Amino acid sequence: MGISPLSLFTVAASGLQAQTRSVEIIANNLANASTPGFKPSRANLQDVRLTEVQPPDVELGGGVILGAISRDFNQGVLTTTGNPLDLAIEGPGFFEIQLADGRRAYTRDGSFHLDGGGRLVTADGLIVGPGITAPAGFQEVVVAADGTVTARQADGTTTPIGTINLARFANPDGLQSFGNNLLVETAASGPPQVGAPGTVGRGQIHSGVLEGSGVEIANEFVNMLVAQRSYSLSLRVLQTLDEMQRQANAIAT
Amino acid sequence: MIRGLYTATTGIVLGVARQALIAHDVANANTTGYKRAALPLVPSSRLDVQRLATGVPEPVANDVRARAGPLGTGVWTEAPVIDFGQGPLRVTGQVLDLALEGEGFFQVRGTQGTLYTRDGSFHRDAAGNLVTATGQFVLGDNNAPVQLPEGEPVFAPDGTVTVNGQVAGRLGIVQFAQPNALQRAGENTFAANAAAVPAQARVRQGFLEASNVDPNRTVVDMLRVARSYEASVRLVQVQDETVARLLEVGRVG
Repeated sequence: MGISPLSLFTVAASGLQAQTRSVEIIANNLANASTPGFKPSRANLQDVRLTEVQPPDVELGGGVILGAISRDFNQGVLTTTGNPLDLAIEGPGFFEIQLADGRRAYTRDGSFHLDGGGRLVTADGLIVGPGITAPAGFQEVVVAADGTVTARQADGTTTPIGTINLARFANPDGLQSFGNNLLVETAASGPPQVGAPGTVGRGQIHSGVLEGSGVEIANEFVNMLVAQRSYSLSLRVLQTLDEMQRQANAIAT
Repeated sequence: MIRGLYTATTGIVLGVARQALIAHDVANANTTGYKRAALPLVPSSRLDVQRLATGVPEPVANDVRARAGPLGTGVWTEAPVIDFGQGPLRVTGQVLDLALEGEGFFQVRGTQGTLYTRDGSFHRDAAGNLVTATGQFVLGDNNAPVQLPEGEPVFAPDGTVTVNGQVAGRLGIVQFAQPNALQRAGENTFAANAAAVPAQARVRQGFLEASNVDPNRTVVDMLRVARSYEASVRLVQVQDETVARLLEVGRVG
């Protein structure tokens, strides 16, 4: 038996599903339009092949699927904040962060601070790099462009207390989102290659500066409109197919 | 009488087949590099209807039965034709987003062998190969995967890619003498049954080619198909009722 309007419902439904996922991704981008170091994602939709030999010998399509989610790693705009522990990377590297379970995660968000114990941590309290602790009684902590962190005491003496290295990946697109503006390595990204800031493929650290979100609001709104419009179209197709199926059912009654 | 029933049925089957293509097009209204399809309509074979011979002895030397005229048997279709018309280019600003302007395809190689695509949302994999969103290798004019060394790649309109001022390769952009040489292969790719020849399409870096599905036209097509489907269904019902009436009249009783 050939195809009925009913058998095409899944094609229209695939459109609804794919556009819903697109809208979710765009909404997440928009929600992070002012998150430091945030890199927007994009849905890569792909057509689905489905061959069915029908009476008219027509090759039918299976609709659409979300093939992959890719991220735009373009450099964000650097904004001066004046806070010496706000760090920005100019170049393609990532800060290395220790997760609570000891695993490593990577971020471009350098809005760091010192916690109660004097440790350099992220906005969420996760330890930065190998762990850098300021000594008791320090006056100020300074981060140089090469990643060297120095503590200055009240009497003017300075002590190096550690180095913030940067990680680079052969394929940053392969990194997986871990939430909270963090990314984790995958087989696709390749292993992190941690090295000193300023070396090839890592970029320099700027202190007192934050990297703005990579989200371009106007672009995202256009993408949102296109996704919503495509959703409405698929819905219209579904309604039409439903109507056709109802008419076909009426023949038998 | 019953012949008319079959004619109306071709309209019903064809209506669904056409709606199948429209549903697939609409599902891919927001799919990069997607090309819409059309189902060419061809009238089915015509029957030569002759008046029933009454009182004429058969056979006769020259057929003297009066010819009543041709009778159509509905519409039928050939394989869908893919409309390879240019889709609108949209700016993304990403260095590995490429769009083609003019006739031609990128060549990609995955598990299905060499395929052809207009979706240029490419990435650099961990080994430095230029790959599609689903990891298929993008081929150069030497038929080998394009390798990108570390650095910012710049694509010239002729497909030549330079990284740090050094030529890293050239994209193999091809086309086909027969437009019907290509069939959909899923994942925004096409498979070919003919040899490819070099094409002159221009490569635009930082752009993607949007789907060439025209929402307005598609909705009109969809409604038109739905209405003619409805008419065919009605035709079946009317003829069914006519036969029923006839049986009623002919009932002995």
